[in-house]
Amino acid sequence: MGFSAEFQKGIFKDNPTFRLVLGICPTLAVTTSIKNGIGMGLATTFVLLGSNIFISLLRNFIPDKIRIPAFIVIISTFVTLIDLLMAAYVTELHEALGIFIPLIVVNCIIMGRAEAYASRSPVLLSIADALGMGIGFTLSLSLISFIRELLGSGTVLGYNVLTSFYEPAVIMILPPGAFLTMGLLLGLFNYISRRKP
Amino acid sequence: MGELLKLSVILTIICSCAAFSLGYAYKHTKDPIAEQQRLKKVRALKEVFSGYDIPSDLPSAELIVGKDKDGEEIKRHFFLIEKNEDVLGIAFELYPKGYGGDIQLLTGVTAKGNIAGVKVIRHAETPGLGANITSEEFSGQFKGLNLDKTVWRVKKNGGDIDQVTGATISSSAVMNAVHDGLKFVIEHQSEIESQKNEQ
Repeated sequence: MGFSAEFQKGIFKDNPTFRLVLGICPTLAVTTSIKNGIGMGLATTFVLLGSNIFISLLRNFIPDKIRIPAFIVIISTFVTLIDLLMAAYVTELHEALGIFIPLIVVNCIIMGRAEAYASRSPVLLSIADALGMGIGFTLSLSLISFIRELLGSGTVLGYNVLTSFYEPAVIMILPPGAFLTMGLLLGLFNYISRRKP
Repeated sequence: MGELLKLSVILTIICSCAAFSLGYAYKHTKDPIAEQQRLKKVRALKEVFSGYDIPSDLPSAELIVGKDKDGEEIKRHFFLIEKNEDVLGIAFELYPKGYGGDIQLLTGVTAKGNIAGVKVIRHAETPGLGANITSEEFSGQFKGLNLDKTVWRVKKNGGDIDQVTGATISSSAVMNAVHDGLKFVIEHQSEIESQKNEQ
């Protein structure tokens, strides 16, 4: 497969959230507002890109027996980097995402791509894979958080759009709303992909 | 034995590179992070004492305010807002227990013993309900309240404080903390002023 095919598969065919169903914990937890959703998606994309590049570069250097600890060290290095950078330059978003930034370390999308893809593929394709998966994850989080913010707070990116005639359903920005939105979207994606030949 | 050594060496190399790059990143983000924290404090103080001149470095005092359940002393910082040696107000942080964990508040008391303002810095209250303690409608109402004339109960119980709808625990936590803080500052004002250290 070429660069663009690797890139595109993360967006829909192998979408990490709706097709692979990976990284569900941060997906459910941070999607209370679009800003949080996009922020989390981009932070994960950064980590994914960094870890995929380095794991792909080092794939012939790292012996099979210690690949898991080596991957974890590389991944957590990038997570700590983005944690420091966000604390320094986007403090507000960093505080809103809180514990979920350090927890990117245990996001299975990143470990999954390292193990299944980057550790056995050349650098350029690993970059395509990371970008596709990262952007696919970001788009998924944006979609979920858009629905939850709209119905739960009546706003889009913090701007009032519905509040004049709509009483926000608080449940949508509480945990049950996350499960409802996620479940319905998952069902929709399964339905669409099954209808395709 | 040879393989063990090889694996250890490789892992050591990877970890050293990681440690080195993180050390480098830490060195370069340390100052911006500290600056952000300081700005955040100044911004919060400006909101609490709106209309006052807030310098970026305030003299502060550290006092023992009580004991926690393990008998350890609880120390808190009090920031003094001054003009030409006169104390215009005292700002301090409060950490009442809310519905979803500790709430962090910044409160200011003017020299006359009125509340200058209350700002919720951090909280983990329920979104849509208790989280509304951050609203101007709720936290703004404390401005100007004092110990003598204000009845420190929610309106439902015959007091002066409007509670957040559906969030009695969060509202009461903030209200009681502000009341206790105000009382403490008024009772210990001279102590705070005598212990201040110029920064």
